[in-house]
Amino acid sequence: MEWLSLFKHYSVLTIKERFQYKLNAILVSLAVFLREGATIAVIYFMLLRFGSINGWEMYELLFLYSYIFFTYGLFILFFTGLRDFEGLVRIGSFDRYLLRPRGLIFQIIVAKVDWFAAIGHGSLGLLLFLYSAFQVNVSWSAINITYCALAIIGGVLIQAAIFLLMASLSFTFISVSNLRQILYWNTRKFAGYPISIFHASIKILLIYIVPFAFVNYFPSQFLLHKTDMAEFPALYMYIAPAVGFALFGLAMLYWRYSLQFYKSTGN
Amino acid sequence: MDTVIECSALKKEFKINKRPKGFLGHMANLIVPKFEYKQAVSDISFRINRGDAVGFIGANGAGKSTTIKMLTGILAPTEGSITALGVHPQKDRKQYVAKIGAVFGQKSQLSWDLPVLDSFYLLQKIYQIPDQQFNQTLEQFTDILDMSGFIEQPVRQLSLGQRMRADIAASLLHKPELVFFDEPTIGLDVVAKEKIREFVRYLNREMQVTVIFTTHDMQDIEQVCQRLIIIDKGRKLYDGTVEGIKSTFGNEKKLIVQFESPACVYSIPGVSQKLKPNHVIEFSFSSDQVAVKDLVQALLAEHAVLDISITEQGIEQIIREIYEKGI
Amino acid sequence: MKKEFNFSVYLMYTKTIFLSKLVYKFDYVLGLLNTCIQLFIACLIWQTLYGGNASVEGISLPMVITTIVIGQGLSNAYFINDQAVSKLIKDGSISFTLLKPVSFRLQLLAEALGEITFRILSNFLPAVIIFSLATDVLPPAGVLPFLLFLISISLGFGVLWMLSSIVQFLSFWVMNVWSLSTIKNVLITVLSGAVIPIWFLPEKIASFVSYTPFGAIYFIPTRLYLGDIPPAEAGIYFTQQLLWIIAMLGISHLLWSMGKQRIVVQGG
Ligand SMILES: Nc1ncnc2c1ncn2[C@@H]1O[C@H](COP(=O)(O)OP(=O)(O)OP(=O)(O)O)[C@@H](O)[C@H]1O
Ligand SMILES: [Mg+2]
Repeated sequence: MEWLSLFKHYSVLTIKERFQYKLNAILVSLAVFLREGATIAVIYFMLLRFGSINGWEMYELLFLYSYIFFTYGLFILFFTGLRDFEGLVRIGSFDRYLLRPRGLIFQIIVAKVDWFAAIGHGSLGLLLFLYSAFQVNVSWSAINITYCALAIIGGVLIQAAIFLLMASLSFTFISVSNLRQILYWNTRKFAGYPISIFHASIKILLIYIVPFAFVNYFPSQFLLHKTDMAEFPALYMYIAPAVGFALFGLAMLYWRYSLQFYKSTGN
Repeated sequence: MDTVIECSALKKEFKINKRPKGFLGHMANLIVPKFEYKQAVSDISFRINRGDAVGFIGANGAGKSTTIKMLTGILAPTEGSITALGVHPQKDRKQYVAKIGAVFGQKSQLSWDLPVLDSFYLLQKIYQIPDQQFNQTLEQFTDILDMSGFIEQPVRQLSLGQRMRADIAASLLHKPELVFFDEPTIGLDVVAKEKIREFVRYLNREMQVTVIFTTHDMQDIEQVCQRLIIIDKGRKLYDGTVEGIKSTFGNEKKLIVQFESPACVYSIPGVSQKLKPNHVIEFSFSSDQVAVKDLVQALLAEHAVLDISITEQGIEQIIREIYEKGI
Repeated sequence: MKKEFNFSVYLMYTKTIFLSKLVYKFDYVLGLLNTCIQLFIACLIWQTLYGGNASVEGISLPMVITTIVIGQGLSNAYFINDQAVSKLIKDGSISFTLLKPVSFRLQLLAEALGEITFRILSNFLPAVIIFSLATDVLPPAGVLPFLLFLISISLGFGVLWMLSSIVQFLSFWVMNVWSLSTIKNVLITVLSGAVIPIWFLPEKIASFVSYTPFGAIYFIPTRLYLGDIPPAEAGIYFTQQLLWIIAMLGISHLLWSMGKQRIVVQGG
């Protein structure tokens, strides 16, 4: 548990750092919160008029969406360092991590624990999740709760795996921000909706290439049993929580392999 | 003697992504990236013993920092092997870096917005330094490096010299047995430089820490290091004592003679002459070909001389010539 | 110091920015891809929502799609860096800028126009062409509605610019303009009708919007384009847009003068 105390120490430091600019920190959280809220507001207004999308009612859609926000909020809390890793490589600050007798991924995680962004992103996700979880027709049995918790961890890990892959690639390529824009941010725009409404090619993208479907769609289906699940193998609902763990494991292997390509900077 | 670092045939090649031209180039580059290779270190071998203080010098781009980064385990050598403190720096990274320290003059490891002390406490946690040892070391460093005046200030408010001292302390809190300094005196004034040299000397002499030091300031080397390694274009040019380089390369002498009246001196084999104003002639020669005594005697015998002075090449000058011409 | 108005100087700023954008051709392909994905998802969602109904509350699906393509397409093209002034204030170069013999505010506008012209040509128009071929984007209701649309869309940009300049000039007082800018953009997203046409907003919110400048940016022009506002009534809407511009210009001017004072007082 020694690492936990280091995690705490780092958290206190980053919060202290941020609190040098107090108003700033609060404004950022608020802005992030509202920005995520805007997406929800749009869905809410649409559904208020139209009732449902492909058989998904308002609360079910909000439930589906809340997975994205909630897992991203957790992701941001632990993996901001991973998201911004490219910058670290470009200015050569990664040197310092290599010089310290601690695990690299561990350092990347703890050095940038970002409570303020996490609160902005995560609180909305959590509120939305709790709110919609009791409106939708799910019996919260022990199994379902366990599944849900595992699926959320899995969802965080899927996103972490994508960013870890980008981080590994940034050792070899100068800039991965374009790639990240295409693979992550653009794909994420699809993921807020039931993927059954999309063309086959986009389904393939969301299931097999950038597997956002395992972050929210399949876990939601496990709990909600909507009819549009019929076109996908039922197995996907059961393995959804495991996908994240598997992908993150693979991404870790690739990361280990890529480390040797780190070039530092010219001075 | 106890070997601390042993490296042989070190080579480092950087793979550089060629910047594509035009739009098609950019697209093609995404699919099949084009690279070119740049050799930063071509072939360097040496051994460093416990308690050594070794200076690395070389022109800009010679490969000093790259070598240091390989020795600290930051970079993987393209070829060659390194054993340091008995382990492989990259494979046994955690074990190795716990016992070394590294100061990079150009990069701070301190947190920009936080007081220096906060960064120190964080390092205590990272290196798991026991409280008692930490407090003792901190007190000692604060004293020697004269940090008490600014230790509670955020790093962004420090002067370069203060920041550098804080950075050095930060790298040494865990009492490493082997320390790398990459240009720790860069951009500092004479007094600040002196403070840092004194500290490094103290580390090396009193605490038996093995020190590896790169710099462009020869005074750093003369005052801190016993041993000097010159690197040029990724190769080792010289490896020996600081004194040794003077006796090996510093044999060019100059005799400056002022004559009473315009004088015409016959050419002497091995000696070149340069005419200066006020009847002064500057004779340059290599001390192993021509003896000063013979030359002076010959001159005094034939001419009326007002004044004679003799200069030896300083180390700065020797190094400059080595950079310019090679050995 | 009296600053003389010299149009060609500002045209230079516009041109410089425009040309500098031409260099990053790759970014422009990505930008187009971004816009297309975004529009594509939006169209698909509305299609699914309509679920085969020809019209909902008198609004047909093609009308919605046209609104979306114009509104979201343009909002991607209208790239305004809300943090430009803030950056100048932070690094202190604002005082140099004030010494130049050009109006700083016009320079900002000219530079933004360079960027935006580039984005309209490279991003908006190609996207419009792609979506006209692939989906039911409606043509303008006629020549006159189209001309009125062009006037109204320019006024709409004016409204957007004034909103942005108020945020920008707040950076004399607020350090983190990013947050303010984000909050402003959130309001625009939800209330401008670009993402969800104002027809479909709940009544209370729709009537609230009519008291704000947000509907004047994209939605009024689009309604003129579709003929949803008869050309005879166009005057009322132009007046509305103009009033917003003037009102916000007043606020922005006030902020600017007070902010400039602060800088002089602080000695730069
Ligand atoms: N990360 C890198 N990527 C590409 N090239 C590099 C990189 N790091 C160093 N180089 C190149 O390798 C060569 C050696 O660089 P290095 O930093 O080791 O020189 P140096 O001896 O430390 O020089 P200086 O005295 O200027 O610090 C230079 O030509 C440099 O351009
Ligand atoms: Mg160097």
